[in-house]
Amino acid sequence: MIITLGHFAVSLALLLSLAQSIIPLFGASQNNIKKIQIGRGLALANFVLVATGFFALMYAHVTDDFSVVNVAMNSHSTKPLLYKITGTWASHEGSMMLWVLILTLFGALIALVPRDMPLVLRARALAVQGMTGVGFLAFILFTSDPFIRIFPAPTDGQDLNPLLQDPGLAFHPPGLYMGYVGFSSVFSLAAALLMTRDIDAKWAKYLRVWVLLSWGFLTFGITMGSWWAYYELGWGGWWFWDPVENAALMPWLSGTALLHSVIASARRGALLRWTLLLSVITFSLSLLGTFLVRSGILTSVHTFAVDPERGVFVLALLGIATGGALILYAARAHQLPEGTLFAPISREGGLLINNLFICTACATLVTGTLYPLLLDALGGGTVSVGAPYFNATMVPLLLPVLFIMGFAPFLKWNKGDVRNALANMKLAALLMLTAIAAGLYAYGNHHIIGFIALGAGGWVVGASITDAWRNRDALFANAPRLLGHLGIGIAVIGMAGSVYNQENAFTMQVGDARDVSGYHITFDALADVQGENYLAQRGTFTVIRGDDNVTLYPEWRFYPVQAMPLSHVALRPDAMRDLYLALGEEQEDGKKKTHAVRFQIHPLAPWIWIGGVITALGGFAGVAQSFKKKWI
Amino acid sequence: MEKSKIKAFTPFIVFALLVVFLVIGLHHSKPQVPKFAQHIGDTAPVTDLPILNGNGARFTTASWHGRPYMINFFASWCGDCKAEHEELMTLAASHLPMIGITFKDKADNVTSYLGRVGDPFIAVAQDDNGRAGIDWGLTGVPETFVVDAQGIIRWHHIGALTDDIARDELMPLWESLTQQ
Repeated sequence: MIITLGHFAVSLALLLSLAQSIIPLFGASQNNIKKIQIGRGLALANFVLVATGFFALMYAHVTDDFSVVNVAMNSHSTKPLLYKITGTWASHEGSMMLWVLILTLFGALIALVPRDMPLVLRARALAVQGMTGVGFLAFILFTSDPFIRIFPAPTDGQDLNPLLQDPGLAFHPPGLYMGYVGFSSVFSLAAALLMTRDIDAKWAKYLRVWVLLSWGFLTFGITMGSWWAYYELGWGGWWFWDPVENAALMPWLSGTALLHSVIASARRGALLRWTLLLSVITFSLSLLGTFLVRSGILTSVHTFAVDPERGVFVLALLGIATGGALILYAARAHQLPEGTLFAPISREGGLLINNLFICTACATLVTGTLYPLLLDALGGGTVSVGAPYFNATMVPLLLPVLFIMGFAPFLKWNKGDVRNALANMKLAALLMLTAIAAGLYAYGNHHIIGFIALGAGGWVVGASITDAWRNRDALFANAPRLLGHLGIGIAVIGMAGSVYNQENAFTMQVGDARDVSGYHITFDALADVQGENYLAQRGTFTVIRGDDNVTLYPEWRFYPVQAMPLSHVALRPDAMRDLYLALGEEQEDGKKKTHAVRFQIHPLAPWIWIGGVITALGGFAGVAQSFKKKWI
Repeated sequence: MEKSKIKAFTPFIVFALLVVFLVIGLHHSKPQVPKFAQHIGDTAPVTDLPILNGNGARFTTASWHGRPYMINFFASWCGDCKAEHEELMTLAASHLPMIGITFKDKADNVTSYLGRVGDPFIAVAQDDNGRAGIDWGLTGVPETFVVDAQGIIRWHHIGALTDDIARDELMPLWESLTQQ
């Protein structure tokens, strides 16, 4: 009954979205307030309807309604409650429901929140948001319907892939989608600006809060995803340049560029065309990411069951949305107001150079991610572009950004003074040298890239502290920049640490002791334990270095329903390093029963995620500030 | 047109080229390599499905007990199924008893699809709601299974069949099964 209601609600939302994409457009062109208000009502109604569908699906998951195919394929009665809830969006169909839920949420926010935005602009933005909704609701109902029933219902389900049975699933996809899909609001507003004649150059300020909100969530979602891959997937890394990771990084990079250009546009009326183009590109990259993930066109750890019909559908949506917006841009760009000019050495100049590097990095990333596809399409065979390419191209492009981002905040708007700005860089230079010296002292001079990154991180952190000190009377007004830059600096230091990772693999049996990388490891005990829906062997290890004495409990788990084994890593984080211990399957070695053990030391790893979260807070601080400044 | 107007079209042209490549890529893309869910060695799940245009006749795994056979899950909406169809026609010519199971498809679409590309199957069973797909542990379509005379799944292939796979894996297995 509830699932039927959900199905009906989503079907109705498709119809109402169609109305939402038409009525406010007429309202805007006829200056008819009533039609504009209808558009706002429709946006709210669509959110409520999609939420009904989403929670109906969640209800089916929580109550083990195996007559719903989606539940039968992805759940099991013994699955813990948390994973029944998060299992709602673990499958393709469910994750698309989450996608549309967030899309309509942003539609409702555009309808409700802005106070000072011109009505015409809002009406047109709502219509564009409605059009995207039509596309994706049709996608769900026609190719990925999560409400399909089977009769008779199976007695139990097939369970969820154990890799996905992790608290990370609760935060990572919703956070990521809030960012990814949140950029739809920026896209809609940019399209609305392009449709509206005689706009003010500074109207870009209405984009700002939506950029900050989406970007903050995207930063948070990527950070969570990286943390999850690091500790749950048991690979011991935090970034793999996997196509699906790249799919999230692409809109993040162009979103970061947009974040900076929108400030120049909002404050100074500069770079308006560029800001609008970036708005279109950023959401297009979100759509491209959705296409890459959902079509399974690129082999990735993230793709499960795929079906080409879906790929064609998302590609068509991408083509219509981006193609349409770019034609609109082409037709209207020359009529947009010219912004104010600025000197090359100025705050705007700094933003522009930063934009140049970040956009080049983004284009490099897109090229690398799509290259295997392009080559295959041209008949050049199958290749895979991996970490060596991205490390070799992305790092040199992003390092200069770090040096500029430390320096540029000390330049004045319109025309800056280099000497004056340099005078503020004393602490930054000091921290840069300290970080390099500390790296040399702790790890020796093996890795040139490690020092450069450590130095760059120290530079950015030092510059942010100086910046905060100079603005100590106006911390709130400068919070987005201060937090954003500080977080990036901290994360970069953490990333630099990964250059010095120490990885050891060996075999042990219970009672063995071993000295590895300065640590004394003892395999004290092994016990059979039973989890809610898995069986496990749990090892007890003591790891000692000097006074530092820690007990770790890695597990080798077996999930019977999916007949899948999984290594559950034991982690001990502290301020300077993570200790990471993974237990392998039991091996019969003559009469002995041995286990493969992986012991890794990840210097500074926790800084990556702490930095990521601080950066995301910068975005949210900007949202809070926009309310105060009435830039909404 | 003015120069600046033409320049404004650059982003669109770049994007249009990208879409062309993606369309080509979509039709070239390789089937995914399975990561888990192998059912080789298990007893084939009990399956009872209506036969397409069979006037109420049904396909059951029980009725095939004592004979080896091959099951091919496919759908008329699936691009990779079209890609492997020629291989299926070749296999049919070598008298391999193949049962097709249509996955989440409509009878009309399947009938017209098979009318167009040829029908290699001795029977086509309909799994309209995907229930049999769940029992067989499908990750998508096409997927192919070989079941021996004792009703044990001996082979499971995810993705389109090719000449190489048929020659190196399927046919040697099939010969060993029929010689027993």
